[in-house]
Formats: sequence, structure tokens, C-alpha cells
Amino acid sequence: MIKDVLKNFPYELMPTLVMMGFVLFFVAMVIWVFRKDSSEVYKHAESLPFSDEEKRS
Amino acid sequence: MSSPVEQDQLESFSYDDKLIKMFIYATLFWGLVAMSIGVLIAFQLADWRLNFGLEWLTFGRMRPIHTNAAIFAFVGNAIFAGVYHSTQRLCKARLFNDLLGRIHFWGWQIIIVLGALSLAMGKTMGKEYAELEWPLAIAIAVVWVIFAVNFFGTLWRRREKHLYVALWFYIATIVTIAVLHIVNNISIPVSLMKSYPIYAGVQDALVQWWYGHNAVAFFLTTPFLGLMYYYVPKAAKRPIYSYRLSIIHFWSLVFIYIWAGPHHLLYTSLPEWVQTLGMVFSIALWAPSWGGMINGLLTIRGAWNRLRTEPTLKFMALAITFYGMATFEGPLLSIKSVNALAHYTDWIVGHVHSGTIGWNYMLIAGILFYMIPKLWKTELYSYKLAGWQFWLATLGILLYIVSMWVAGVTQGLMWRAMDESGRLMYPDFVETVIRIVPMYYVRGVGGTLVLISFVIMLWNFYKTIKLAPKEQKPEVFKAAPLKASVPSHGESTHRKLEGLPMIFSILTTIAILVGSIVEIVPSLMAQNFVEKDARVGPYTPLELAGRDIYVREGCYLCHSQQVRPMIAEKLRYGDPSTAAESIYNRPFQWGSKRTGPDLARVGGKYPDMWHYRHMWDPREVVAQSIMPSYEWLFRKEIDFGILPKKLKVMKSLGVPYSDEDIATSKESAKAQAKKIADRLKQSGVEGKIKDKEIMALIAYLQRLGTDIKKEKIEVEND
Repeated sequence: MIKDVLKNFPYELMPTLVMMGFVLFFVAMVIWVFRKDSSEVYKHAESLPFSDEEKRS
Repeated sequence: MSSPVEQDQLESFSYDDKLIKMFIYATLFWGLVAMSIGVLIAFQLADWRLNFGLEWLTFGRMRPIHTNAAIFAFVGNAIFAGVYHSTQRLCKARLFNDLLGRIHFWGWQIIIVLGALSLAMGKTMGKEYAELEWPLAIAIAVVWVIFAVNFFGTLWRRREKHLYVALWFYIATIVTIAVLHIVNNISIPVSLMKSYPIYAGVQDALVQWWYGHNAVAFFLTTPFLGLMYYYVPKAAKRPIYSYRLSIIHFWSLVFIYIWAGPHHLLYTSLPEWVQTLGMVFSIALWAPSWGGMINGLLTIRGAWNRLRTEPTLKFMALAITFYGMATFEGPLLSIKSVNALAHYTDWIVGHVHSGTIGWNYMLIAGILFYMIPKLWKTELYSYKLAGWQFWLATLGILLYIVSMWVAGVTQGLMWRAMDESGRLMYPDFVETVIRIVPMYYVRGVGGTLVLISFVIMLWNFYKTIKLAPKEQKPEVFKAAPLKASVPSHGESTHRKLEGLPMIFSILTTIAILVGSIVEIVPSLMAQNFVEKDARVGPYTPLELAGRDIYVREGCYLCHSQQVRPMIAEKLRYGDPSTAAESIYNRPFQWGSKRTGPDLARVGGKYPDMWHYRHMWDPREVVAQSIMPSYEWLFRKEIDFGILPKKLKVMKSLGVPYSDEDIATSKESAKAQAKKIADRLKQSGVEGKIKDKEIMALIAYLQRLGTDIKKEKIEVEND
């Protein structure tokens, strides 16, 4: 069954299908990354490399 | 800043910096080894006499030692130093287990030493960047798991809830390299240091370049992007330019990179749709790669003036610039029409070195200039020496890249040049080689400058460490435990995700598996992927022995076995290669570089005597050849005893050998060797030659490409 599907799949469409899938994923990611009120979150995240310097004994 | 709640609950801890120092020493040592061998093999291509007639020192054996030393020893140790150093600090936690760290360190160094020795002895799987034989491949997997346990254990013990973007790149590296290494190295052992891969021909090519390309992606790129996201802000003393961009960068890169492997196999007998997928996703890689480069460079905004004086920033800026150049060139080379010119030429060699020297070495230098004075609690010995190192390395890499561009484009154009009557203008391959030999000298000079720059850095660090105070007390840090940390803001889904390393790792694994499965599974499962050709049969025992000698000597590093469907190639070599022709080839030997001509159709092209003389001294038959001599093939005897075992393993993998073939393999090989020896004796060769390795190699070379020349009727009658 799986072999039959793989055998008869129209592989010439594969680059187009996969590219469309990625574009959808990418657009959704960009919209989500720029969601409302997310600036504070990123401000905290980008400061993490410097946080180890605050707390030396 | 710490909240009052945290002040009550602060825990004291120190970092395991001793392990970082050990990995730094290893990085510097192996960097020197890798670059020294690189310079040697660069000059070997310019002057064959530098092979010195020693079998372990020939180009075919030294080249994999160079690539393995550069990638896994030099860059690998630098990754471990940087990952362990930054992960502890980003997690505010000591490494999970000190002992595991030591086992990781010594295990890796032992693998490198044994790997170098085995490669010098010709023990190789014959697959680029995955040459080490099965016991060492298993050892690599074990040490990598130890690394993973130590890394994820540290995340588990962390005192900072959110995982900074650098850690995402480390997670992607650890997970993906494990998958790539295991899948590509599955093989059936014949003896302690000999095995055959379970994949054959096209399938082996696809799996190998899925691995090969992604070894570049997930060993030479993603860990360094993680290091860039940690060390560039630290050196520039300002946060990353855009954290949002880093999220887009990460997910796009991880998703896209895995698809691009087939661009190494354009115009081969790989199915067209896989080639197109590889090309399309390689071009798509432009966006995330340049997104990352821009994010790195813009982090230095406002600190450009410090580039003049601070070596850390100077090397990092150069590294990121080279990353941008290499990731522009890579997709460009993946466009089929560009690839038709560039593939198999030195242009590709220049491209990979702009990545490993320009991106990896420069970023490693930048990180070490940051880490060493801090770890040893001292000042850098000499900024002036760092400046000399910078300019020598830059000049060296530019000479290297430009000479390889010139050599690659020149040779690519000469291969395809035809006159008005449609004949090749340079039918003798060697004509196209001697034209570019001057460029090989320029490349050697460029490599030497890079090596000198490295030696200067070693001296600078040696003096810096000498300046350090003798007593090095570990610094003690304080942080609140993870459960006491209070979220400062309403948590988003991704932030929650960042706090869950296991789920984050699973999602990353899914992202890389999608492309892997879609590209590879059809080739492994669908029966019609390779249409069988009745004319193509398995190798005779002697030819198989010869093939193993071909693999052992690294012939595939200079000779391809894949005629592309192009007019110039058909005129020079014969009919284009078909997938069916390599169904019994374990490992496949399509190659990636033509320092010498393609050998897919060499069988029957020359008499046995030509090959005999050619292997003894290539200059006897091709006056201007740059190929080394292989005199030891005339001394060493064929190991007939192992042949039944080899055929048995091949049979278990599906090669149609009968029980009788296996039982009589020794006798049949001896009989075929005697026939070749008798023909050679008729041509005037003296002495006992019938049991020598050269007989097996001649048998193999004479078989190449002959199957499809047989008439179909002849096969049917047989």
C-alpha cells in the first residue's frame, strides 16, 4: 500500500507543494513574531547574555 | 535585576571552566595540524613529487585527514569550548556533570587520533566527511550522546527559565548531527576496519550528500550562529540587533537547510524532482542566511570604531562578512546552469574554504580573543600581533579564494569548449590541468599565509596565558533557583516553548525530519526508483577487491564516476551515467571533484599495460600528469582470504551472488588475476605479478562502464 502510494505519487509536483508549505509556514511565523505586545518579551530575551554579569558574589 | 524575593533564595555556584580550557588547547593544537596538512596537500597538487612516494602521505590519504582534522578536530573542539562556556552562563548553572565532560573531551581526542591513523592506513568508508570506519563511527555516536546528556542536563539544571536563541541553535546542532551521523553510517562490517554501507548507488549518493551538506549546515553553521548570537553581543556590549529576526532566522534555517543536499548531485542520475527540490531550497536559503548575517553585523552598529582596536570584534565582523559571502555563493552554485560550469572544479574548493577559513576560523579567533583573557583573568599579550594575524589571514584567504575561482572557471570553460566543427578544443584532460597548476601555487601561498596567521595567534595566546596569575580561583556566582523566578510579563506560547527544552527539541527534530523523509524515503522504498538494467551485473571477486583498493587510496577524491548529460561530457567520456549502473556500488563513487578525468567509462579505453605503467609512474603515459605514483600496489599482495566474507556481506545486502560464487571467490579471483598477469607478461612485464594488488585495480578499472556497452541480445542469450 505505502509502496504503491510512493510509486504513483506525482513527484514532479513535489518542489511546488513543499515550497508552498514553507511559504505558508513562513508567513504565519512572521505574523506571529510581530504580534501585539510582544516587545517586552523580546527585550527580556535579548538581555539574557548580559544577565550573568549582574550577579557575581 | 534581582527581585527582593530572589535575594533571599540566591544559590552560589561556579562554572566548570577547566573543561573549556581543555577544549581551547585542543582547538589550537588541532587547528595547527589541520592547516599544516592543508598547506601540504595544496602543494602536492601543485607538485606531485611532494607525495614523496609514501603511501600514507599521498594526497588520497592526506586529504580526508585534512578535512576531518579541520571539521571535527579544529572546529569540533571549538564548538565544544564555545557551547559549554556560553551554555553555563546562559543557564546560570554549572555543567551537568564534570566527569561526563572529561569523558567527552578525552573520547573526542582519542577518536581524532585513531581516525587520523586509520585514514593514513587507508581504512576508509570512502564517503566524504564520513570516512571513519564503523568502530570509530560508533565511538563518535557514543561521545556525541555524552555531549548531548551533558548539554541537556545543564538545561535541566538551569536557573534561567527562558532559553536564549543561541541555545536553540545548539539544540538543533546536537539533534540533527545525531540523526545524520547514524543514518549515513549504517553499514555491515566485513572485518574490524572494513564495512559496506547498506545503501547502494543512487540511494547511497542521496543519503551521503544529505549527510554531507548538512554536516556543513549543522556542524559548521548552526553551532557557529549560536556562538555568534552569544559572543557578538558580549563583544559589542549591546544586545542582538533584532530578537524577532533571530526567531525567524532559526526556524527558517533549520527547516530549509535539510532539503538542500541534492544540489551536490545536479546533473547526475538522481531523479529530476529531487534535484529540483535541492536547487529550489538552496536558493531559498539566501533569505535566512542573509537574515542571520544582517542580524549579526547590525549588532555591531554603534561600535564600528572599536573594530580598529579590538581583535574580538574585528575577527567577528570579518567572519560574519565571510558568512554572507559564502551563503551567497552557495545558492548561486546550486543553480543548475551555474552548477554545470562549477561542479567538479576548484570553484567548489574555494567556496568551502571561504566558509571554513573565512567564517569558522575567523569566528573561532574572535571568540578565543574574547574568552582567553577572561578565562585566564589576564590581558591580551599583544594587540599588534592580533592585527598582523588579521591581515595575514585576510590576505591568505583572499588569495586562496580568488585563485580557486580563476582555476575553477578556467577549467570548467576548457572542459566544455568546442570548435566550429563541434569537436572538443581540449580533448586531452591534462591540457586543462596544466593550465591551472600556477593557480595551485597561488592557493598554496594563500594557505601558507593563513597558517602563519594561526601560528601568530598561538604565540599571542601562549604569551597571554603566561601573563596570567598563577593562582586561578574559580569565580563564584549567585542566582535564584528556577522555581523561584517570577515571570516578568504575560508569557506567550513561544516563550513557554522556550522554557521546555524537550518539546522545543522535538519540534526542531520534526522540522529537520520533514525534508529528510520527503527526499529520502521514496528512494529507499519505491521499487521503481532505479529501473534495473539487465546488462549490469555484480563485480567479480577480483574486481570487488580492486574496487576496495580504489576506495582505500582515495581515488574518488580526484576522479568522478558520473558522466553528466551534456554534449561536452558525452564527447569526452561517452554516454551519460545511469542510475542502474551503480546499483551494486557500495559505497557509491561518483566523486565531487575532477582533478583527473572522470572514470565512469574508462573500462576498455586503454590496454592493461597502460594502466600498469600509469599506476607505476603516471608520467610514463601522460607526460604532464600531476598524479602521484602508486608503487606499493606492485609490492602488496591481494588479500584473497577475505573475499568469501566480502561477497557474503554483499549478498546479505541484496547483491545477487550465488553460494557457489562465494565458495569459489578466491579461486575465481586468482584465475582472473592470472589472466591479466599473462597479458601483461606478453607485453614484456617480468616477475611475479599475479598476486599483486595492481592486478585487482586493473580488473576493476577495466570493468568500469563496460556493462552498458553490452548488447541487450547478448545479455538475453547469456
